[in-house]
Amino acid sequence: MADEPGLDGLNRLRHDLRTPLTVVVGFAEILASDRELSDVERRDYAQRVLNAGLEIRELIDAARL
Amino acid sequence: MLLRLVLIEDHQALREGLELLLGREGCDVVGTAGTAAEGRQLVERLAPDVALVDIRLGDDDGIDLTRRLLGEDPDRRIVLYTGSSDEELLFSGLDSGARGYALKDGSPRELVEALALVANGGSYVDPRLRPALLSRRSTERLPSLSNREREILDLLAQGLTGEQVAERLFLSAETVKTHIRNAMSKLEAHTRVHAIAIALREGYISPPDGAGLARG
Repeated sequence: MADEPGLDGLNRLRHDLRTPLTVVVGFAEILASDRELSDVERRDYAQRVLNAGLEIRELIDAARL
Repeated sequence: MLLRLVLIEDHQALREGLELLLGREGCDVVGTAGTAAEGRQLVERLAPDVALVDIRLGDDDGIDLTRRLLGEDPDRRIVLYTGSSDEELLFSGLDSGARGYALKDGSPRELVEALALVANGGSYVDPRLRPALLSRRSTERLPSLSNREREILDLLAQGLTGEQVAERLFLSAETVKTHIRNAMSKLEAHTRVHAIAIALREGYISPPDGAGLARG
């Protein structure tokens, strides 16, 4: 990733950030609203949120935002 | 009836996540692919009701894949999926012939609504892209649409199919098709959804109310 991304680089970064963010929001919504999740599902979904969150952090670090 | 869907998304976590999330919302995800080549094979083999295609597929391009799939069979229903609200990308995506354009900002339920709309013959542009659609209003002037053409595009934008428009306006389906073809020609649009996008941008029709789905 370029140090100073141009417009196309910024658009790519937006896309790259929103991709794991979609995972975070999608599964966090289920965790927050579905009271019938099993423990296995709850752990699975929480792990997906965690992994996607870590990926977002890496992207932000790599882009030096 | 369950919506039969093929998912083409290079990001593994999102691909797996969407399979699960869209399954919870009532979709039957019949196949998933992480590359354009795999996705093309799946769509050809499984003939889904609709395919969700990520615009950026690693080294591949979802817009090129869409053009190729629709070049083989123009009746395929494809929704492009992107994290970018870039205006040029939007119009390039609409030019490809995709009937839907969804942002990754939307909820799974919104995405399913968009997929269902497109699978049932409608079109969809994410309401968050309305500013991008409207921002080009001041660009080059296009030939004026007739009142009937505007009326038809307006109904398409509200989510009616061509047949429903014909029924609503007491016209034959063929007459409606002719008006749509003429409007597309005047607007230099390649697809119905592209024509709706340009008509919105140029102010010929107003954005639909409610969820803001640009349908047609």
